[in-house]
Order: sequence, then C-alpha cells, then structure tokens
Amino acid sequence: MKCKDCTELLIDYMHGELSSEDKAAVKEHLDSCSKCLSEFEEYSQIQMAAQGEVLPEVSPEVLAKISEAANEDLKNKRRPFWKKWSYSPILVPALTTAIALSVWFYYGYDGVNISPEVASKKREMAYQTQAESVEPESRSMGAIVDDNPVMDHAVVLEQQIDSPEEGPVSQPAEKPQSFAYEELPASPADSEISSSSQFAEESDSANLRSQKEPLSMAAQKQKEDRCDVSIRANEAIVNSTTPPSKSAQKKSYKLLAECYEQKGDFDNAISNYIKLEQVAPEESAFANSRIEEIRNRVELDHEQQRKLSDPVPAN
Amino acid sequence: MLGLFAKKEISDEEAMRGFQNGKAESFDILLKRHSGGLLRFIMKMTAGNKIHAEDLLQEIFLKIIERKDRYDSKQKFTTWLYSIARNHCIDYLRSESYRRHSSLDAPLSDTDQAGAVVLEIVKSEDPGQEDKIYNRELKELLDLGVNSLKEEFKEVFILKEIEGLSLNEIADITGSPLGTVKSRLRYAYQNLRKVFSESGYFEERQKAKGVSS
Repeated sequence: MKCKDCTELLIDYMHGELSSEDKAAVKEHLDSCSKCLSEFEEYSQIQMAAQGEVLPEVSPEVLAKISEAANEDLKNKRRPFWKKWSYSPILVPALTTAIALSVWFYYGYDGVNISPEVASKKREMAYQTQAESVEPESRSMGAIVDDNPVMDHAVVLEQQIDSPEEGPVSQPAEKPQSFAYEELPASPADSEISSSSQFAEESDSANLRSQKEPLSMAAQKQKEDRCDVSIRANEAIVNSTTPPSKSAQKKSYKLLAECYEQKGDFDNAISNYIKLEQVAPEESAFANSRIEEIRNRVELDHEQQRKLSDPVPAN
Repeated sequence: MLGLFAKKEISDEEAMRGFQNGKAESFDILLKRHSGGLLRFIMKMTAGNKIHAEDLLQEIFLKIIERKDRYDSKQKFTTWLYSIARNHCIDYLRSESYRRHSSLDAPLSDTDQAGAVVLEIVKSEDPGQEDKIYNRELKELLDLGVNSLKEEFKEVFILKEIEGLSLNEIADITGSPLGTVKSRLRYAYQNLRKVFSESGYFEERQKAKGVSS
C-alpha cells in the first residue's frame, strides 16, 4: 500500500468503517511507515480533543422557560379530539346515540313541551289550518288521507268528551307527522274507542282507515259548529272514487244531514236523510223522524215569515 | 443498591411518544437529556457566545414543541432533534442578524493568524500548570480549527466527534449520502490537522512526551 492510499483510509480506519481486508492493509502499512503513523496519531489526538469537550450547562431559567412552553402547549392544544384514544371506541358512539335519542325524545315522541295556554292556542290554529287543507283532489287514496293526527283525536272528542277543551287533546294536537294512530300511547279514551268503534268490525280496513280520519274530523267540526268544513269533508268521502264502506257512508250522510239541518239548509238536509235511509235501512226511523221535524220547522218558519212580512199572503 | 429499584430509563422515542400523548414530564426528560448537547452543538455551529446560543436553543425547542405531532416514533429521536437544530442553525447563519452579530464580533477567520496567536499562548505558559493549560489551549485550538472549517465539513465533524452520532444518522440529518458524509469527515480532519500543525501543537505534545518519558 502506498502512503497516498493509506492517508485516504486513515479516518475510516479510525472509525472502524473499513472492510477487514482494507483494515489489515492499513495496519500493515502503519507498522512500516512512521510518516503515516504520526499522521494517524495526530488525527487521534484531534478526535480525543473533540470527544473531551465538556457539556455546557444550560441556565435554569432557559430550561424553565422551555419547559413552561411545553406545558402551555399541552394545555392549549391537546391532541385533536379524534386522536384521543378515550374518545374513539367508547365516547363517540355513546355521545352520538345520546344526542340522537335526546332529539328523538324531544321532538319525535312527546312533541314540544309548551305551556297549557300556548298549547290550547296552537291546537285551535292546528284545527283551522288542517281543516282548510282538507282537499280531496290532492289526496292519494282518493279519500282524504291527512297526515295530521288531529283527526285521530277528533274521534276521541266525538265519542268521549263533551267539552273538547280538556284532556289529552292538547298534546297530540302538536304532535307532528305521526301517521299511524295505532302507535299512539294508549290512553283509556283510545282503547275505549277502538273497542266500541263500529268501524272495528269492518273488513275493508285500509279503506276504512283512510275514511275514518276525515270522518271523525268532520264530526269534530260539527261539534264545534263548523259545519262548512264538516260538510266539505263528508262530501269528499261520499263522492270519493273508492266507494266508502257502508258504515262510513251512513255516518257521512248522517253528519251531512245534521250539518245542513244545523245550517238551516233544509233541502240538502232532507236529501241527505233520504240517502241515509237508503244506505242504512235500520236508520230509517231516525231519518224519518228528522225529516218530519224539519218539515215541521219549515212550516213553522214559513209561518213566522208570513207573520213578519205580514201583508203578503201566502199562495 | 438504589439503582436496582430505579425505574428503567425510557428511551427518547418512548418519551417523545409520551409527550405527543400529552405528558409534560416526558418532555422534561428529553429536555434534561439533550439540552446540554444541543447547546454545545449550537455553540460550535454558530461560534457564538453561550447567551446567544441559549436563545437559539430555546427557539429550537419551541420548534420541537410546535412540531411534536409530526414526529414519527419509528425515526430515531436524536436524528429528528438534530435535523431541526441543524437547519435552524444554518438558517440563522444565513440570516441578517448573524451577519450583523458576527461583524461586531470580528471573528478570527484567518487560520494562520489564529495559529500564531495560539502558538504565542502555548509558548508563554508556565510549565507548572501544564495540564490545565494544556486543556485550555487544546479547547481553544479545537474551536479555532472547527470555526475555520467550511459549513458542510464543520457540521459533520461536530455531529460525529463532539455529539457522538453515527455516520448513518448524520447522513439522515444532513440529507447526504453516507459516502459524502465520510469524505466530508475526512476533509474536516485534514483541515483540522493543518490548523493544529500550524499552531505547533503537535510539536509541543511531542516535546512534552519526550520530557516526561
């Protein structure tokens, strides 16, 4: 090995970075060449000097400042929450479920909790708007199918309550989008209805359901002296493309007749009583008695009118 | 005896992971372990005084804190730490503030001149305090030699011989191939040897050896 080659390898030799072959060659050369050996020794002295460098002491204030900065950092921006182990497997699903449930309980189940006064006001408004929206053309089943559960509870009103201002009415009035009345929390009133309801005996239940709601609403309207709405609703049932069940027809005609009677439209009242008679012969006695009474009233009215507008004699 | 009960020291990488997971005490372990070496590295790299180097040290550790989530624990912690420190020092050396700072300090850039000064010191010393003087003189000489090195030689020499990192780690830190690192280390040694020779250091050592033996 020449001195020039040896010099090239001395630093690697010093750091043990040579292959065993090169290492042996360098060692052999150093044994025989004092010039290269002294160069190697000088490198070693420099290395020793460098390795003997003492560690400077960092002043405590600087260390405290740095440590404080790290603490601040950890306090201010903890790991992003999605990286925190405690959140991912347990808390995230738990929180999500809790939020979903609470939303459902709050809005989906009981409706919005409001004070009784507001509730009654809202209920009135709901009746009005619902009544106005009863338009048979826009309904899918031909009969009136209204999503609003107000009508379910109109049944309750019709059959159970004389004064519609109290009881379970206020709650369901605000309950949105509860389509199937079967799912309602069973109140005593409800169960009473379902057991006593004559509709329950009918076989065509889908048809029945579609008509039961407007029908019962119409009844409610009548109770509230809102005959116009009741009439509209019942007309819709009677004239719907799918022929309503007999019991529904019976009820509709009866309600129509009563409404017209109440309104003073006696012609229509009588015609509806006649229709009722046709549909339900068992009601003919009732219908006939009503017709009789109406005629009597008409007579009376005519009598009175004659008296009021006196000098004109009746022909 | 106490050593038996002492908890096994956690590795840098484990400590860093602890810090990433929000443990402040893990960071303090790393700070305690590496602040001295890092300060020395900064002082050698920038040839600055300690107070100034401590400012840089603080800046570097703030970067470490800021970027802690970017650290991948598969990487050796010292590699990551010294990469950040090395880049910070280089940025500083190229900055306006360093140029202003260094022009005020008027460093000894001429090696011949520096060697002459050191030689003067060596010759004038009292032989009775030989060891002490020898150490001081050696330290000053080494500083002079290191300062005279070009930046790329200097960083390799400091990281390898003063901070004791492996050549592979230095290759990662400087972003150069291992072969380049080795040849830079060789150039560094050759230049340092020149500085030491010119100062008469080796001659002095030879003489001292002859006297004592």
